[in-house]
Amino acid sequence: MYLTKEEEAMLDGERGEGLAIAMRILAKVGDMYGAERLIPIESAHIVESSYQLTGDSGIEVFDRLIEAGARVSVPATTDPCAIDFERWRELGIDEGYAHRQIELARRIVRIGCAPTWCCTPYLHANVPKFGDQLAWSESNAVAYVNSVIGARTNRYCAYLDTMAAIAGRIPEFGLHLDENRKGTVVVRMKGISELRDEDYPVLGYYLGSELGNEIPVIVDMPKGANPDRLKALGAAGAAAGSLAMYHIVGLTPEARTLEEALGGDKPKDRLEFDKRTLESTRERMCSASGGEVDLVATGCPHASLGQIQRLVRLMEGRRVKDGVEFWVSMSKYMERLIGEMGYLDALTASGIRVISDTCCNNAPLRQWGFKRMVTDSGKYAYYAPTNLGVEVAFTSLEGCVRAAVEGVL
Amino acid sequence: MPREIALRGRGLVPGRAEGEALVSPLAFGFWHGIDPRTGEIVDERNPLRGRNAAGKVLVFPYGRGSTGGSSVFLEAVRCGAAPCAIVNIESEPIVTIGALMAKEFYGKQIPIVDRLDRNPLEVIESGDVVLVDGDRGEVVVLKRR
Repeated sequence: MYLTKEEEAMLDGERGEGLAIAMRILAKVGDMYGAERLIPIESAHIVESSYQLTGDSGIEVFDRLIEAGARVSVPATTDPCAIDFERWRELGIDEGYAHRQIELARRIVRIGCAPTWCCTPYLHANVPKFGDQLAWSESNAVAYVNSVIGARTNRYCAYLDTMAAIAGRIPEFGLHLDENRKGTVVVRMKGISELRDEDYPVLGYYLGSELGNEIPVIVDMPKGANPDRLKALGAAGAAAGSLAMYHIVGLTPEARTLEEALGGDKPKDRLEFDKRTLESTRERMCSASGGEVDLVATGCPHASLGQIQRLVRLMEGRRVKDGVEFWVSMSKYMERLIGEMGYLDALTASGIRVISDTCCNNAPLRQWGFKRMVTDSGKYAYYAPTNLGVEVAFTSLEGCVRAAVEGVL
Repeated sequence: MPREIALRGRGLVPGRAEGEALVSPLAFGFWHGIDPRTGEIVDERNPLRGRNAAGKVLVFPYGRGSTGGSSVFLEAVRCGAAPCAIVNIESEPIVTIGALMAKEFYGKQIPIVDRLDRNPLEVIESGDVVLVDGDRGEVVVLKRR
C-alpha cells in the first residue's frame, strides 16, 4: 500500500508512538486486503467498549495506547458497555466486574472517544451524510449507514476502529470503493403487498442467513419502510449473517433503479421472498412456542424516540405482570430526553425497566436465570439463546406488551 | 504413514504453527462463539459446541456475526485460550485483526491463511494434524486416517 510522506513519518514513530501503533495495524490491514492507499475518514464508531467482549485485554490495550500518547483525531463514538453505569447494582452485576468495566470506559474516554455507549449513533451524536468515508464497527450501524445513508464503511471490528480513529485514516478497500457497492443478488418481493414492523427483522434475518456477505438488491418492496424498520432489518441481517449493505430499489440512495443498484453487472443470483419464506424464517427465529414468560426485551438496537413513544402508548392503562421483567434498552442521551418528557416515569410506573448504556447482548445477566424471552428484535432473537441461555419468541412490539402483561406467550 | 496433503493459499498473518484441527462447517464468530477464558466453543448453533479451540488449528469457512469478535479473540490470546492458527476460505477483518493485535500487544503469532487452492473444509477434518505457515501461505495436512 502506498503511504504519503506524512503517513511514513507516522508509521516510523516521528509523530509519536500512539500513531505508530495505529499505523502499523492499518498498514498491515491495507496490505492484506489489497488497498492502494489510506483515505481520510469523517468519523469512527468503536465496539470494544464492552468489558463483556474485551475482558482485561481491553484495559491493557488502552493502557498501552494512553502510555503511547494516542488520541483519536476524528469524532469517535462508543458502542454499549456491559453495564448501565447508574443501575448495575439493580441488575445484579458483580461489583468487581462493574469496576473493571468502569476502568475500561475511563480509558476509552481518555483517548478522546465520546461516551455515547450506544449502538445507534447514526440517530444522534454521530450522523454521517451521503458519501462520507467512515471506520465504523457495530454491525447494525454499518448496515444502516451504508444502505440507508449511503456513507461508506466496511464491517470493521474491535480495535481496528480505534486504530483508524487515532490515525484519522482507513485503507481504501471493499465498500469504500464504488465497484464493491454494487448489488450482487436480486431479491424480489413476491405477493407481499405490505410489511409490518415485525416483518422487517424477519426479512433482515433471511438476507443475513441466506446470503452470507453478498449485497442484496430488494425489488418490489412495499411502501412503508422508515428508519426504525430499516434499523431493525439491518440489525437482524448483520447478526444472523454478515450483511454490511443492501439496496432497496426506489428507496435507498444508491438504488434509484435496479440498473443503478447493480452497477451494470449481472447479479449472481435472483431469489424470491414470498409469504412462505417470511413465515418459515420467522419460525427459525423462535425457539419458544408457548408457556410462561420471564423476560420481555425491546430496544435492540437501542430504542429510538418513535419506538419509545409507541411503547408508552401501548402500555397506557396496563401493567407488567408480577414475576415478569420487561426491559427497554436505549442510550443515556435518549433516557435523559424521555426523562424530561415524562415518558421515563410512565414506563417505570407501568413496571418497565429502562436500561441504558448497555443491553441484553452486552451485559452479564445469567444470574437472573431467565428461561423464556419475548422480543421484537431479530438481533436479540439471534444472540439471547447464547448470552442469556433462554428460549426466545420473536414477535411484534404489541406481542411483547401482551406477553409482559399476561406473563404467557 | 499418515497421508500428507499440501495446500497453497494467501498468508494473511505471518508465523508458523502446528496443531490438531478443529473444523467448523459453519461460518464462525468469536463473540458468543468462544469462551475466551477457556477456549470452549459456546455457539449454540455450531456442531462444535462444547469442544475446545485452545491451541488448535481452527478451520471455518468465513467469519460472521457481530464485530466485537476481534476483542473476544484478543482476550482469548491474553488468557492463553486462543487457537494456534486459523484457516479460512476467506478471512474478513473480524478474524484477522485479533491476530494482528495479538502480535502488536502480546507478542504472540497466530498465523492465518485463506484462499487455498482447495476448499479446506473438504480436505481437513477435525483431528487431523495441520501445519499452518502464514509467511508462505501454506497449509500442510497430516490425515489422521
